[in-house]
Amino acid sequence: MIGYIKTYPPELKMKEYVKYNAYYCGICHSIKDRWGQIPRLTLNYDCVFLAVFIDSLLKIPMEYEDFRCIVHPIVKKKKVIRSSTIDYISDMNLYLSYMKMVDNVKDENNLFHSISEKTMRRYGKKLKEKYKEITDKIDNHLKDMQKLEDNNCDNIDEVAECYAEIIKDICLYKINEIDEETKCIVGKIAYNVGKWVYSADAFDDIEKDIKKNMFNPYLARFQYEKGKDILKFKNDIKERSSFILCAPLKAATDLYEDLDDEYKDFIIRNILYEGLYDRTEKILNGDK
Amino acid sequence: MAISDPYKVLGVNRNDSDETIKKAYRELVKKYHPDKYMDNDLKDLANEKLQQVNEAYDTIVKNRKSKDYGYSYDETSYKGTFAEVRSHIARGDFQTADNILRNSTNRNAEWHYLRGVIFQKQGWYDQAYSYFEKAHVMEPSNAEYATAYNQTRSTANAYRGNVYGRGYSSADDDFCRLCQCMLCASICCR
Repeated sequence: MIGYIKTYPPELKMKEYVKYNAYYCGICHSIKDRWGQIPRLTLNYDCVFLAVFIDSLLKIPMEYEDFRCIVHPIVKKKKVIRSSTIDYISDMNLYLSYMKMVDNVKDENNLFHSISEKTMRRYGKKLKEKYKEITDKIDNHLKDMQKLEDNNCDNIDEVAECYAEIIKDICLYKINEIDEETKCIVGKIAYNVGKWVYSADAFDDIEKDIKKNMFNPYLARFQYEKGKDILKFKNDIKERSSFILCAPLKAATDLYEDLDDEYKDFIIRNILYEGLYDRTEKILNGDK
Repeated sequence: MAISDPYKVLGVNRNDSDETIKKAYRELVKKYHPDKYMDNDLKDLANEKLQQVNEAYDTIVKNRKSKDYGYSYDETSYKGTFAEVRSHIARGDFQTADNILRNSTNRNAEWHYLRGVIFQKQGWYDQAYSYFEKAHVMEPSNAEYATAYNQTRSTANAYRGNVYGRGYSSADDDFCRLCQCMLCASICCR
């Protein structure tokens, strides 16, 4: 997971803001308690979105606990405890982070990447044993993605779909007991959010990938010619890129309205509408 | 109570997409929702209106389902294979529809349009955009292709509309900046 999915805080109510942060702290502690200190560094906001989303569908009652955080030692903070979703999502995040490191070593084998990969390897192995079914699925999607990247695929929908399917599978794995219709909508929302994340991340990486001469779906899709001015290129493709980023969000918000009210959660609504919109505009305008 | 024209009740056009109609329906339901008229003389009237709206929406949905949904106008232009593709699409069997199209040699405007429809349903929006555009360029006078193309083109704005409709205000305005400052301050002080 990459860390693009965030709320838009000015529109959040205080209680939601507390809940959102409590999830963040809950996930962080779940990683620490079960895996140790180093994997905590992989924590990001995409997991918080998934955990809150899944729990709002499973309607799990929240249990808070006060604690002191080493980053903010003075004030007591709240964290969410006893949610199996939190453990599950932090495991998935850890697994994806490990796979990302494996990928980094393949792309660019420097000392930093190889050390990170080696440190994380044992976690990857353990997670593969613990979640055989879902990690196999993830591996397959990543293999498909690798193939498309190797062939310099110019179909951005196809490449982004691999990541979208991963997010979808992660979501669906945990909500088996929900009715089929809701599951279908949830799967599509997760798919569209995943598609947005991949497309947004790739747009953000255009400069970096040009400099490092690496695959980027936008360069393939819009036939970037080597040596051409990067800013001008980004400007030329801005309108279509805006479509590429907004189309999955439009679909996700429309699908969200189709969910039964009992499954709706204000934080998820805030993310889908304001949070991702805000992020999209920033990415398109190049400020981070 | 019998409904004269369900489209009129919802204030939409016959050619509008399912999505537009659903939206109009939702807005009307919100408008006439009984909770709003709890202790009001208009309560009965609102109830009656709500019932009309519900009936109208049900009728349209039923009609569209039985008529291969959404594609009820301009039926004369359908020919053999493409009519078959349309019925597969209407049933939600995109795989079969896609296979037929891939094997078809007649790659006219309608072929491009139908592939666009399938891509759209699949979530391949960038592809759908290109195919709708091609269909529209090949046959600019066709209303069906023009609608699909224009709707796709305005997707980004439609999403922005969804967002602003909910009260999002751009971070450029001063009040919002003030809120952000205060929020940042509150995070720092925690």
